[in-house]
Amino acid sequence: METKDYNVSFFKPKTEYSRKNRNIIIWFLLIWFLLIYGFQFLLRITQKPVKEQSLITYEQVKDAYFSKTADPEQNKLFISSTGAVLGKTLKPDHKSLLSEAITQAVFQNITDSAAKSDLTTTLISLEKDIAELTALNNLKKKPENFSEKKESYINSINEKRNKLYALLKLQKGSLFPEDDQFSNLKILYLPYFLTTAGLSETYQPDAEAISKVMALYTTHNQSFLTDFKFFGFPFHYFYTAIFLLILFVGLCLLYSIFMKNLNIKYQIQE
Amino acid sequence: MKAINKLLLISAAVLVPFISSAAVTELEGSFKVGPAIILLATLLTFIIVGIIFRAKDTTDFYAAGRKISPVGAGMAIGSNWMSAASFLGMAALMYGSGYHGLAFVIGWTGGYVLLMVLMAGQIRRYGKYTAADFVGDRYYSKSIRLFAAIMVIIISIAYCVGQFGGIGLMFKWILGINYFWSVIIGGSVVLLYTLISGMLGATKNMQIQYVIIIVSFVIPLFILSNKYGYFWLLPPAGYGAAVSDIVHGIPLPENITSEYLTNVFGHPFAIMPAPEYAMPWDPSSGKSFFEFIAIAFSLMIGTAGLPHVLQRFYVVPNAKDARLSVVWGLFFICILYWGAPVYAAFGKLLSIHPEVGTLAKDAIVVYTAQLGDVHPLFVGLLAAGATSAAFSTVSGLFVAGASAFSHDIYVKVLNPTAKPKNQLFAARIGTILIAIIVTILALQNIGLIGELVASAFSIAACTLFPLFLLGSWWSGSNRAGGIAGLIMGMLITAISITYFVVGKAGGHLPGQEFISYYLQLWYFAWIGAPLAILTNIIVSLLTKPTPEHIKEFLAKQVHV
Repeated sequence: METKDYNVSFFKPKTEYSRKNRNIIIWFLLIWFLLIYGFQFLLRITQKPVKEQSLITYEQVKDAYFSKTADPEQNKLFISSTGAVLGKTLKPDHKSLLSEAITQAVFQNITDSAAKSDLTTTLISLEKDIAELTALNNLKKKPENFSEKKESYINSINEKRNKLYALLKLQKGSLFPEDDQFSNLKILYLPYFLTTAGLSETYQPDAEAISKVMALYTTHNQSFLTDFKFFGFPFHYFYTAIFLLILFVGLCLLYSIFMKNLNIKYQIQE
Repeated sequence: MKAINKLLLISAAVLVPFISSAAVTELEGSFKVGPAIILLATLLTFIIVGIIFRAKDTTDFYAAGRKISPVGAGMAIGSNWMSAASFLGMAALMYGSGYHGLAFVIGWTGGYVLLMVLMAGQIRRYGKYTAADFVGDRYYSKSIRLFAAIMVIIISIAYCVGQFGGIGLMFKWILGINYFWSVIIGGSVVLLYTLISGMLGATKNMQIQYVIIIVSFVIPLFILSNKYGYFWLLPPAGYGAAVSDIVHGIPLPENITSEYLTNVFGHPFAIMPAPEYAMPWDPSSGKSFFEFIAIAFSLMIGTAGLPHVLQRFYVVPNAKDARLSVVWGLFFICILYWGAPVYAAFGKLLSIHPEVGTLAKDAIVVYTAQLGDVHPLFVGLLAAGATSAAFSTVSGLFVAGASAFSHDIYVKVLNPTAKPKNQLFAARIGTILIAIIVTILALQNIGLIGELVASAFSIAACTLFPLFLLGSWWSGSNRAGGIAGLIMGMLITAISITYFVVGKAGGHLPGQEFISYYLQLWYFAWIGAPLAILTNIIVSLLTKPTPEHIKEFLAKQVHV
């Protein structure tokens, strides 16, 4: 009695129809794989660590700053470069490191003793308010007038930050180089970063740790694929976020059409 | 001194909108009536639609009578797929780690190509209702059916933990209560919703859910793009300029007027250059090239192994429609996936001011709409859409998990003579048990929503995907091979989970750092799935061949 061979294997199709179907699948998977992973590998191979201008500037003046021999112009560059990084989203410990260092540089560059004194007093008062507000928020049992107290602290904190901002803005020329196009934004953010810890006479900046933090946030993997713009996007971003999704829909649609035509050609009823 | 004081007053007056209005506006706030009503109305709509189109019998319930059009089935695939991970989690991942987050975007869409060319037609032609049915039948084994059912339950739980996190965050936002009670209340509501609507017209409901979810998601994108001066007619194409603005920065001009764009707090629309947002595998993100590739690959093969996704192919009349439904389904899914990075980019631009502070990443979609001062009703609709996305997925997964418990374990193994009444009782008990386990896990704050859901994909990729792939395409894969492959997949899963749990608890096992990195819970399938497939093949070649009737069925029915 004759026994039929019912073995099924993707790699050993038995009919012309199955062979064509298999070949289509292999082509589709190959295109799929190469366009997804091939591109990412290309991105990986062509990338080079590129420093932001703020890191280049920082590296030019860091030795002078840490050896406490920086002149006002070098201090400006230090404030400008660390200020650029503080404007990013940082981990809290990294933020503290840079905040202390920038505070010291800012106060070194302010020569007007009245302004310096005003800044110091406001900063101390601001930190006191923040500490008291934190303690209030952390109370397990909130006092009856919690909301009023909280609002009063918030208003006081905002008032002091406004004052700090206004004082710093008057000192803009002593704090930032003239060609710093982000100086207005850095001044706006400074009241949130200045800290009395950087004013302490005993404060010794940790040069190695600060340099590591600066390098971490200002060195980026870049290549021609990231520098080239497409539809306003960095090209690699467009490719991954937009094009690959179009490709997936397109591949599915094409496969569906191929299979429909194949079924018609071989008169297959699914 | 007077002059200075005058200057201070003037400066303060000009600056007040920029740095001190956070006291007035809060992102969280208290109970929000509008969003609560929208959410309630949405859920009621789902229940009413479910009652109108309720399933008449088992075939109707599982496969919607096999009469849904490809477009309708595509919408159901879209709704079924779009969970809190898609709605909230993806934007969170990109907001937090920039380009790395795109691994999730391509991972959760690229898998559909695999599904299309390797699974859709074959699974439809095989004609079983559930993953355990397919595995039990193809591998002619009750024990493998039991294991598959257990894996379906585990996958459902892992998938739901992230969803509960999303539900908790949205309930926290709507009700203005803490996360613990939000998860408890949100979990109870979704459990009640499932128990009421679980047997109702699932597929028709999913089509309506898709429309609500996608409309609520895209409206704020048009508003935000228009308001901040980007090409708003097609936000997913127009936000390229926003990404470049993040990379190169937006300086704050010297003289600004009251017309200057701000966020809801009055912070100016400006940002320091942040190339780390868009550059690949940026050192500051802490994510590597390997992690990107491993996540994308694991999610893609996980997609092709998820039982509730495969089950969608049974609702169409034939294999051709199954393929077309994937095309439509993927297109509908991509509408949301093209939009999620837009939220992340605007979220970055609008929340960068130090006063905004640290935001819960998983709620960044809603926060972004709030920061952009989108009308509260649209923000409420957005929150309702997020909750609906999570509800529809949780409900589907609860039903899948409970079915595996009552049908595949209770009836098939524990009590074959069980009456339908007892089976229904077991399904309800199963649903409640799963809900309790999920709630406990969701309260632990194990990870981001997207990451938690990714773990379900890795589990599916290591356990069910090899069985479906080899089961469909190679008749040589036999019972022993299937069991061995499944055990290998479960072993890798167990190792990854163990090291993850120990690591979270602060403990240390041998090779802790190595295993935690290369077998991370979110992407261990990059190696686990290939190992499971290899084990299945080797053991199958060394043991008794597959019975002829199975081969014949495969040759005649599945491979025409």
